[in-house]
Amino acid sequence: MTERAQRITKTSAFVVILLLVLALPWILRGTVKAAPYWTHVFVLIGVFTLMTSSMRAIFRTGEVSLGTAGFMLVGGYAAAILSIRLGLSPWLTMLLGGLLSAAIGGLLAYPFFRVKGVYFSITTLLLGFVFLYLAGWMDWLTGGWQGLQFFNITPELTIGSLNVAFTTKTNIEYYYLVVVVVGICLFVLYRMERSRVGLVWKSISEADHLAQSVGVNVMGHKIFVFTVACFFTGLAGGLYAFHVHALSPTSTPANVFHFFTSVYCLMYMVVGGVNSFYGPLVGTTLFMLLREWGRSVSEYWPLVMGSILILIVFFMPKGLVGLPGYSRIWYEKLRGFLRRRALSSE
Amino acid sequence: MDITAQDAVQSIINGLCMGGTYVLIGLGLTLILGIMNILQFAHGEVYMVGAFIVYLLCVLNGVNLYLAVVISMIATAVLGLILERVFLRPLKGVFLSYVCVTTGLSLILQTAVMLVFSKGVKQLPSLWGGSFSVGGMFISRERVVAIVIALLLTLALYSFLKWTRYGLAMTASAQHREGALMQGINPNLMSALVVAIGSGLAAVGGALGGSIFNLDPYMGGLAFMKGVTLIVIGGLGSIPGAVVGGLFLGVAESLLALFFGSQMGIILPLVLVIIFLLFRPKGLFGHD
Amino acid sequence: MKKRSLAILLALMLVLGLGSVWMVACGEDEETTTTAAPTTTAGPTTTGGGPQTTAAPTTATTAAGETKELVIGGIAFLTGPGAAGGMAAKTGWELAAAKINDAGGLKIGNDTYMVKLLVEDDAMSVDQASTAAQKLIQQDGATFIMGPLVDAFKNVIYPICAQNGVMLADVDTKNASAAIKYEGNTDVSPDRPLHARFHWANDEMMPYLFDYLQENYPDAKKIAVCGVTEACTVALYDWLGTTLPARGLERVGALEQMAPDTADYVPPVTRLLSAKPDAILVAVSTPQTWGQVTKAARDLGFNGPVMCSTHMGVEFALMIAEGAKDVFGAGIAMADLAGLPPAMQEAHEAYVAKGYPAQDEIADVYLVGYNGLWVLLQAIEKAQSVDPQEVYDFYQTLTNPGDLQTLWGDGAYVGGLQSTGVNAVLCEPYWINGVGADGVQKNLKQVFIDVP
Repeated sequence: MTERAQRITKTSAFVVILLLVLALPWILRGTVKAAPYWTHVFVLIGVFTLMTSSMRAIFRTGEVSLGTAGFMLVGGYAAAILSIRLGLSPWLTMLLGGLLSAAIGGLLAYPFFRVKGVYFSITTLLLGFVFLYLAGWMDWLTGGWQGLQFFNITPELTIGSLNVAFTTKTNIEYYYLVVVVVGICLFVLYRMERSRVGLVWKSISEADHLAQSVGVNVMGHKIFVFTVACFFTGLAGGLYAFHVHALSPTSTPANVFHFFTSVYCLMYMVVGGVNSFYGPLVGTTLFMLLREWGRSVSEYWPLVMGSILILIVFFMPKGLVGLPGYSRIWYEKLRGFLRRRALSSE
Repeated sequence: MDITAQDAVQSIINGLCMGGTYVLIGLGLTLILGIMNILQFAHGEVYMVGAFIVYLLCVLNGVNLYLAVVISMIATAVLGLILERVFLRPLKGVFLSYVCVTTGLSLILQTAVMLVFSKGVKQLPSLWGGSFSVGGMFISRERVVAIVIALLLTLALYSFLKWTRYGLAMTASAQHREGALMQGINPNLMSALVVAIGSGLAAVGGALGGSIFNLDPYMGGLAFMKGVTLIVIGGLGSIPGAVVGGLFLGVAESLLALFFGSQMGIILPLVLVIIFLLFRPKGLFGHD
Repeated sequence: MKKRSLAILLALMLVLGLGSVWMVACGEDEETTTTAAPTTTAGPTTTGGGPQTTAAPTTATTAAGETKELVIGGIAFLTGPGAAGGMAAKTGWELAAAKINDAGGLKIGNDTYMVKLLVEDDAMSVDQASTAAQKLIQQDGATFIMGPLVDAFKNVIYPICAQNGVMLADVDTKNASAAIKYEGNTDVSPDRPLHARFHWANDEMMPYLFDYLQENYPDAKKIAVCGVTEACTVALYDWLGTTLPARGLERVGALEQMAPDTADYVPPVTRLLSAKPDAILVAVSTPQTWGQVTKAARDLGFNGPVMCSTHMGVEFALMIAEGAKDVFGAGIAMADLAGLPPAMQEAHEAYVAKGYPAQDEIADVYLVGYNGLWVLLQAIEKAQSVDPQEVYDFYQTLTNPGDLQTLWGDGAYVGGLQSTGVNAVLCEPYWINGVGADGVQKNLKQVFIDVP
């Protein structure tokens, strides 16, 4: 295949997927019984895709942040509290939530990036817990462990005489909101990764001392990417908040703001394929759908997740995105094995 | 609220006891990190499995509590050996891989234990019920037993590392992996040994924790967090650091909770550790 | 070149996205006239989504003697650390459903309805609770939803139920009733139609605990209060500041709030005891709090009574605080089954027959679940309708003592008009269980929780 043909194939595949994403609520309405429920699931998938992709952006510089859930909490709570207390529009507060998350991330980035590797992971992990406990502790602001509920606050959009309320009634409007917002964020991340900055990140992840010695501002780049990722994570928190209309920091591992969410994002990223931009998309969509289909065996779910993760790390380090390549290798291996069997039996 | 000096002293003693159980989980974490360069995210679950083995033997089958703890220690050490051979050794300390594999393991162990021992909170019998009073202070007996056991085990580990051939080899590997390799120390043997020892200690920690507090399949997560906190304070890979860090964490939590309420007792140590990590990432006793 | 094509794609995406939103909005305008109806009138026949109708119950009712299915959904935490409680509630619901189905189902008009119970996991996370509710209502066609067990999640589930014309049956205990004012109160109220409560709230139980305290421990005057960190605990503490002096008791010391992740209860209990109380009240408890507070208090040399107003078997507290005495609270002691009403004994036989231990520490949770569904099914049968609105309306009229049966004893009825503004709270007998000075676990006293 020529390069041109390859590019055409890629672009057309992209367009098909895009159309599929946009038409999804209508497909669901036509095919499944509980379309609003499935639309709701896809809204959550969108939110988690954004979080996972942000985590991957940080990982491009070689560091694993386990504080994703914490920054999501900051964004979500900030958006909700600003809207409840000051009556600001959800559009503004979602943005402000992201900005607050980015500001905290940006301020902490310098001290945090003075440490590397496992130290960085531990720091972010503990930071996530600090946010969680603070949300529970500052009950005068956050409602404590009881949390916040705000059903009367819904983002609305007025274009001329047309008024769109992004309600949870059918979830369709909110789905498109998430698609547009997450789409733009992913596009930004994609452009950054494919630009010169992305190459610099790669160089930092592969050999940071070398990168520094050739004049790369390693710290500056790390702070930049961390801040951007925190912004998107906070934004995801805001999207989550105004979709679910409630936030609570119950300290059980399954809670969305708990450490487990960060671990699940890590899993979506690794299972999807950490080296590909599409990895988080594939991982998140597949896993969250699987989880929904497997509701009846939800008790076993962590077991299944853990097993898949370990299998992927050992047998498919490139993740599901690398499946075509792996299947070819496996096919070759199988053929070789069969041929040898045939030869030895002759 | 009037907190008397007696209350404070009492809190320090309680904190030392908490610290004792933290030390037992922290020692394994720090040893594994030092020798294999792996942060064992499933170590909290090993701690939990240890406690549940004691529960299985002691509560469900009527074995003596202390005997059950010894059996659990051995069984968990064997579990550690298996985990090391099958999952940890092939990873060769590659960061992302071990983060994923060990968190995966912790999910699997949690769910498996939950499925085997139904859900819900369980309790081990008290190590030694009741409390005694000294100069107006009440000190619970089981906490004293716990801290004695923790200190004895730490001393035993220390002597092992100081005076036996294997122990010295382990110390050498932890200090300089390549150097130890050049001296003919088998790194695979060392990593097997260290995971086995660490897991055994964690099992005892789990049994003590399960007896003083309670046990459920998710207890490992919190224990792991405490372990990470204390090894950061003490310095990653350092044994004296783990002991001092653990006792310090226990006392700090207890006193902070006494003066500022139980919520602050959880939040402040975490903030403290983050600050610690940023300004002295090597910890109190760390080395390069 | 490539940059440009991507920019074009982005623009395309935006246009398509906005276009779709616009299309939805237009579609919505047409639909609102039809779907808005259910919220104002009775018929909950259409789900919010569109033209589909919910499952069997609401369709054709003309044919005589038909056997149909009544889908009742339950939401509880079935995974995670609290799973034991959720699983117990689920077991209780299953037993109650099995009891009705074994007896031939619900006879409504000429039809017989078999109860189809579906229980989903909320994983103690708001999004999962919301997902579970949407799945139960839209996919499975549930017209009645029980749970969730976490108070805060009820505010998440309720709007989804209301949107779809589904009745929310609050079957578990409530931490604070509408009489306790705080932001985020989840109790029934006049502006929450289709929300009914089938159990008491902690503040409704507390007066009976204080009665018991004053009868049996006349010297205990000073009460220290602790509980799980929640907004309602603070509100309850404030309320106790006025309630206790009216009874000749005194609230001493500050409120001790225990974070859910507290491992060591000795420091907070030390603080609690520094006010020199005669008794300790655990106002809102997790399964562990009562036991852990008791254990810590006894270890610290405190010998006064420790009481708990969240319903819990005293076995559970004693499992943690071995050998403690003078402990009592709302709950059923399964060790003392003999004196309990026949209905409860019968339920417990069915429970044991399913392979559960006779003296299960969390038996009281399944009993509360069982009772809630049983009362709901009674209300449905009495209303002679499976329509949530009709059942809800009829439930409000069951105000005569003895209109409803409960596991805990006779004489239950619906009340609450004065304290909550709507007649939707079940007034029922309940029990105080505990351990006296003799160290024997007993059901100490039956009380009747009357909500004006």
